[in-house]
Amino acid sequence: MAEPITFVLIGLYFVVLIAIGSWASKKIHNTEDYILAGRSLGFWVFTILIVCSVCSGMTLLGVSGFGYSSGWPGIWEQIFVPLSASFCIIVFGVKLQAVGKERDYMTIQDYLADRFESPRVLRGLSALSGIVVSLIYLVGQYTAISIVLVWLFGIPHWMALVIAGVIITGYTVVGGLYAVSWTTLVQGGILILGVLFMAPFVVMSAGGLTHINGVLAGVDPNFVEPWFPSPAYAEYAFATPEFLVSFGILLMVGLACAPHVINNVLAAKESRYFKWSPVIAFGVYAAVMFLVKFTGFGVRALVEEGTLVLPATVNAQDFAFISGVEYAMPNVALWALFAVIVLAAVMSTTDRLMLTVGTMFAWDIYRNIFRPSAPDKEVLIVSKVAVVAAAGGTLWLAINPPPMLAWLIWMGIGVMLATFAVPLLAGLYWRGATGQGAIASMGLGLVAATVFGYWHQFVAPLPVHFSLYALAASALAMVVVSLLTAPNSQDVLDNTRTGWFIQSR
Amino acid sequence: MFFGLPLHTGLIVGGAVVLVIVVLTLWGFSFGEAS
Repeated sequence: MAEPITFVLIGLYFVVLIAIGSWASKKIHNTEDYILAGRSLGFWVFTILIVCSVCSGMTLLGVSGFGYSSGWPGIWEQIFVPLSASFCIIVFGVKLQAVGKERDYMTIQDYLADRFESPRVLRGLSALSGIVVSLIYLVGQYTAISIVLVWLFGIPHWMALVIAGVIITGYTVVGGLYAVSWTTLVQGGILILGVLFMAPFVVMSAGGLTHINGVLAGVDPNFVEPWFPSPAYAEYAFATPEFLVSFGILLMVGLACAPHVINNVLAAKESRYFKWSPVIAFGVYAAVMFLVKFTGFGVRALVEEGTLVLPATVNAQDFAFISGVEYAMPNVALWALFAVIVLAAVMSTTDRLMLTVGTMFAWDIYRNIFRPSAPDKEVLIVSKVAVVAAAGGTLWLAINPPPMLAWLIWMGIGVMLATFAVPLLAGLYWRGATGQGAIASMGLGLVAATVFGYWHQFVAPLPVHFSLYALAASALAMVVVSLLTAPNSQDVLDNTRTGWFIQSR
Repeated sequence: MFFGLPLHTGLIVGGAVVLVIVVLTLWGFSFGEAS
């Protein structure tokens, strides 16, 4: 299927990534350089890093697929997900970056351990749950990469995984966050410009937005409504008002406190970036996501009119974007560019996840729990080994992906929300939140997310997203246990800028 | 009608996007760089 120009462009793209990795490796002198790029990220590198860490491998394929199958009621995803980047910067980032610089935090676990005076238990619990969730997410990313490479080159699944794995692991191991952030700037640029350029062609080839909406309304009048009526009357009509509320909290807050997203705020060079990065991150990301969604609508219209046929697979809707571009842009050179865009979207999340897993293991578990006396060089080596191990393990899992992979990824986001959101929010904004409260909140959130997630999938569907119940349990545990236990010291609360404000007065 | 959508859909979705942008812009103006 692939033309020589596709090989050339993808080859060139890989060479650029490796060159950035090689350049970045010269800047790594200690663990802080490796984990936080020496806290030196400039405005655009930081903003695009946040956006592309949220923007997962399934963004192009999944977003257009959701548009294809559910129409306009699913459009809220395109507001909630970009908003998670802004939420992360404003609600978590402003305080964490300032306190992190003063108190030398390397990870969010450093903050939790310091704020809640729990250097081992809370740090260990949050690092472990962060690693498990990130690994699940990582398997999903590698599976998405292999889908793209297999489809492009017709090579075996395992070969596609090994090629992608070796390149991403290579530049992440040698260049740490310097390599991840600068490759992400390149990948983000390709993704943003590519979608802005290509999506309008698909929409126009389907007859324009007005015509597409007319066709959608003919399929199901609710496809052009802002939500589906409650209760859901079909499998595709799950975006009811109550579901959308829970979906909004899940995406906006859950993604914002995901370890591979929130840790980025510690690497920003200056606090003044937080002034305009929220609106710019939202604007750029939402523009791209709306356009991708519109391609899903367009492809649905083309299919309904008999112009286009999607592959006869179970997840046919995930091929909406690919099929739409293939139909609208038969030019081979543009097609090759499109291949690079999809790879850029997938790879920019994968490298950040791998670095996050390596960091949490080396810094939080190895250095801060097992070997506090470990010299910096040793921690740096352990970080690199952990990145390689995370890549190897998840590649192996991705070769034979678990049958419930999609469910596991949604579980992962739900677990992030249920375990991290309450301890972080309460820690930053409520002086009464205690260490025991945080441990109870995180522990109960983890258990409740697993129980409700299992219940929703295997016993009986719940009316709202399962993670909302787990979030409520986590919040309740935080409030009750904190009220029953002694508060943290006033010094710690002052030093961590705890209180009901975002910026210090 | 709004690009072939019922007017209320266009207003609700468009209004939500505008609201978010306005709130985030207000945040930008209220952000104190000195802290």
